[in-house]
Amino acid sequence: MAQLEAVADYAAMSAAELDLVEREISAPFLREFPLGIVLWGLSNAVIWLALWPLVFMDILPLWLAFPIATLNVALSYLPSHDAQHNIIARRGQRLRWLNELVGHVSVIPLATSFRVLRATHMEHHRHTNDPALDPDYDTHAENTLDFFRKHIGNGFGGRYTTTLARIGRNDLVLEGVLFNLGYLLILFALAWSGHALEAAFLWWLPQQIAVLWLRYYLSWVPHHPGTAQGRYRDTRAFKSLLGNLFSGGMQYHIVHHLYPTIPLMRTPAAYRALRPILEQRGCDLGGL
Amino acid sequence: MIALRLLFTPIAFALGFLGPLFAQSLTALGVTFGDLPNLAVGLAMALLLGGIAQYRGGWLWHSSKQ
Repeated sequence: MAQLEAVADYAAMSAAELDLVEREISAPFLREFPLGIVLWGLSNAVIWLALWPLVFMDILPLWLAFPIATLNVALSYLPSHDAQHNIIARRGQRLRWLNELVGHVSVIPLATSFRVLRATHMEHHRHTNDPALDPDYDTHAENTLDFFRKHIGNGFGGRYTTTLARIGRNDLVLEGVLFNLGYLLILFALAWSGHALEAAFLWWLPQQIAVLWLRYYLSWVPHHPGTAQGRYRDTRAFKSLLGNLFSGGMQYHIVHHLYPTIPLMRTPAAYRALRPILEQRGCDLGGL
Repeated sequence: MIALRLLFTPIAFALGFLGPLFAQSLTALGVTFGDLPNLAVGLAMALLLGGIAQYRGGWLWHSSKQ
């Protein structure tokens, strides 16, 4: 009932008043220190790294390490994502080093450069759903089946190189190539030294599965159908069959695009607080 | 530069990774092909797949060039 009254109140507000209320509601969630994501990012990378000696020393069987590694690689992106948005600490703040540490360390299992991810992700926020400028636009697909048809076997960031070149970050193009090269050479070295199965089941296959999951839940679903642009139109909320946890917290992705410095773990609460306003704005809330 | 580009081709991935992977998988499963070493079989399988991927521009049913 209270929510209905609130919706009615919002309906009577001017656009400027609505903006003001929206900012007031979101303010308490901005830049809260995300201790959970710090612990998640660092521990997840350590667990993945620990799998290698555990498997090589026959302490952990490969069949058991494989699902753990897959989970590790899948969970490696989101802590870096909070760091990309400087949520842990901004430039000049005391804990800035921790922000950068989490950013770099958490994506080790993904074998991807944090700086490349950060630069391209900022472009995604600037140009969401722009066919020419959104670096993640290549994840667009008609439906789930079409998505999987297009993306099984494809790695991260098919448009990242062109995006980095466009924004004049050729240094990051080189960094991205070096990361890919390093990853390939490690795989080759492991394979030719008799550890191809370990390389396949601790890194290569987990990465294939994880990247597919990341592209699906972090890129395709929250932006689908991805035809509209604009602050309240380029993303949506949705109700995931797998729940919020197994969809990477992306059910509330609309909140992230509106307020990118709200920590991932606070987006559900922020969404609940902002929901009447988003409804009033005509956002696609997917029944959530 | 050409050597670097070659490293990122499906053929290089087949030779560098998939070949030994197939060979070690066969060995782990106890599969043998007469006198042929498993590495030779693994490399042959990988080269076939890598060659097709190189020609089509993608590993699976889609093309990465689309």
